[in-house]
Amino acid sequence: MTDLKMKSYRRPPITEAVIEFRMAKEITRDQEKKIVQRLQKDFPHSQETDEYAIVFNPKKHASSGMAPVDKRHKAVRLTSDDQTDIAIVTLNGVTSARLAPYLGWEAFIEQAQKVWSAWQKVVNSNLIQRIGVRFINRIDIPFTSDNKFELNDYLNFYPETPSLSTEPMKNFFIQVSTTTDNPYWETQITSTRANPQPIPKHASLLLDIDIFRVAEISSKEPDLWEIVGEARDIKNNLFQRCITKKSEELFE
Amino acid sequence: MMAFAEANLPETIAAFPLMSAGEHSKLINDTQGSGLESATMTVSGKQTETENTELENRLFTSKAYCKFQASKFVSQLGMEWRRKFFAQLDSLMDPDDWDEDDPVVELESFDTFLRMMVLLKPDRLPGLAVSNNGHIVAAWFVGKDRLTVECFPYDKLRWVLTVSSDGGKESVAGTNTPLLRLIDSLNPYGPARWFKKDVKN
Repeated sequence: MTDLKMKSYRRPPITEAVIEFRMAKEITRDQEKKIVQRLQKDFPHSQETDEYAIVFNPKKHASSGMAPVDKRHKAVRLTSDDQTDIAIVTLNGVTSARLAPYLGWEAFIEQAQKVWSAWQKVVNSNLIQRIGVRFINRIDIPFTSDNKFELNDYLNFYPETPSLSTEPMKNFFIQVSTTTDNPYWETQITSTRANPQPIPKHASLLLDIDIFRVAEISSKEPDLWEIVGEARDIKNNLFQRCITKKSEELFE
Repeated sequence: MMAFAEANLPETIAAFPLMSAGEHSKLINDTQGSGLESATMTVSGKQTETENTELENRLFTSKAYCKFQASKFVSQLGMEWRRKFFAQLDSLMDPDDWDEDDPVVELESFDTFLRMMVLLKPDRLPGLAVSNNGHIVAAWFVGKDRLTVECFPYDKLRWVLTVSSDGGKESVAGTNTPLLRLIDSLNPYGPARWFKKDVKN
């Protein structure tokens, strides 16, 4: 595969950029609290999120018609003052994320390094089970007079269907998983329509590129960040392949 | 032509998507399903209202929501707009200027306001206030000419304008105006006087 040169855009379409480190060993709630404390200087606002499981067992619960709700701690979500930089700490790992406006790879990695550093200083064993790098892009297409457009004018990654109706498609969801040309990295690419549409008089398409690796992950620096840098190159390559020149014009 | 390779990675490690950081990742994760058999609900990644009704917490939640939502529109409105708007929000949501019983901004009103700003793309930022029913109110004043727009949930607006001319003052109002109709409604009154810099009436 020929590497496509990554371009920089005046209005980059990135709406979410995420790096996740998932660990082989679960930490304790106490360790999680210490990591959160370390992060609060850069992410002063925190909120615990919980997971609720409702398992209805007809034999046990049919007579009362009620099933117990099992509440489990899921994560601590921390945000910056402007709600744009996010750190998520769980018992299984840590995530660093940036919402729009995306300020470039260097700024993004610098934040990820701070988040990782907070984890490292608390947790002795740092065997990384999975690294994920995910970029979600939103392509805002201005409506024309008839409010119609062809998906393949903007994306090279779209569903191809037979003629189903004379009416235009209302929505779609397409997802492909494959190994990349770098055999250590897998990718899952998803495209769908943003719902609800955020921008008036525009249709918004989402292009989600998720790259992950589960083998040969060094937790020692600088090797770790070189590995993360590989994901960036793969992601950029895939992105350029998935969009058309018409999309690029929207980012200029 | 596609060739399907046999998946050889444990699904629990490889395929489970990254946790949602923002709205779009949550949309995609929810659409494809969690893959778990039990009916497990996950709480949205956005800051949500807590049961604590202390004024500061309510104001923070409201402000945090608006800043979070504003990230969707920065590519349309620009960084300078974002910087100024966030400063306005911080000022508007200063707890020292609120009473405990005051209603904080209704979140869907914020959505309407942000979408209105994308539609209008004004050079001049409006002054901001909050109505008695928790709606964002945007106001533009240029000389004696004024335009006030109250943002209701779900893209509905109420607006009042006053313009001065040789014939005197004229006041016009609109209620329950759909967002997409706002520009057409204002056009007869030369809205550039409020939205564009260096426009002389």
